[in-house]
Amino acid sequence: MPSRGKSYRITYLAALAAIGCAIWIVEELIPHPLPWIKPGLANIATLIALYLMRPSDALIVSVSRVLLGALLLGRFGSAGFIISLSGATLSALVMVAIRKSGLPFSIYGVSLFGALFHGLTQLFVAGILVYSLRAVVFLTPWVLLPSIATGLLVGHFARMIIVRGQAKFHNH
Amino acid sequence: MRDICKHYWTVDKKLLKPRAFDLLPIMLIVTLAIIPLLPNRGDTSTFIIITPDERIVLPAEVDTVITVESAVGPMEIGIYAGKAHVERASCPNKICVSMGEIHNPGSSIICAPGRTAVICIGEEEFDAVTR
Repeated sequence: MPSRGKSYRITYLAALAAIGCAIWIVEELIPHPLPWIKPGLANIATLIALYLMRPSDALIVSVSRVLLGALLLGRFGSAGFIISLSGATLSALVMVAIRKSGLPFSIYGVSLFGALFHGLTQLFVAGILVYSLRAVVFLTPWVLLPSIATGLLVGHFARMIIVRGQAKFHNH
Repeated sequence: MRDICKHYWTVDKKLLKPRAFDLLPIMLIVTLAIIPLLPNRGDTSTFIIITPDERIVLPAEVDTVITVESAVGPMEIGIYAGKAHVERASCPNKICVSMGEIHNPGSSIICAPGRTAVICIGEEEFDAVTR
């Protein structure tokens, strides 16, 4: 394994944030039939940082992705932006905590926890900012049940990329 | 140069394969999703219609048809034989219309684009919502 410095880390953080941001914007622009169901594929970039870089780098990738995306789509400071930012931050924090704690979850489990906390945080913040908390309670099943499928999907995609990426980096 | 990235780009293959433990978050999500669906015990139910600008409280016993202004246009809500349903909506998806009738305390019809909800509640919950 060749020695790699700080610039290497910054480059990859920037690249992952940019990839996450691009996926996020494309997802935002595609019309979703149900407003609360989105695959959340941008989380792939967060998972890659979580597994291939330092776990805390996942938080940087996740937060900078939302900030950049909001600036590019002109949503900075809106209610939707605050909802996205809180969801992304808390789900990244939970995933970092699980990865660091050494709990016996695979990337699928970590991704599912991320999806769960993303949905729960967004519901909670939306309940405070836009709807009433009471109304949001009834929306919970329709947000959480699809997150099983999206969490597994995102985990699987991230796994495929990590396995291939690792092979590449070792032949460096 | 200081090798700060020594542990980068390698990950234990075992961490990537699905494990039995991954069923735990799935069960957690299913449990959390089912809790709001459980019917609450309540003798008399009341319907509350929440729109972007107002809250309307309607008793379940009286049959009515009411038109409210949602964020995406007018929405017609009917209460018939103790059950509420959305008769007509202005949104393109019409998810609220296809949700059918509700009558159990705890059940609801929510139109997210219209920021409008019809919620059925039992008597003791009444204060918590209208306050």
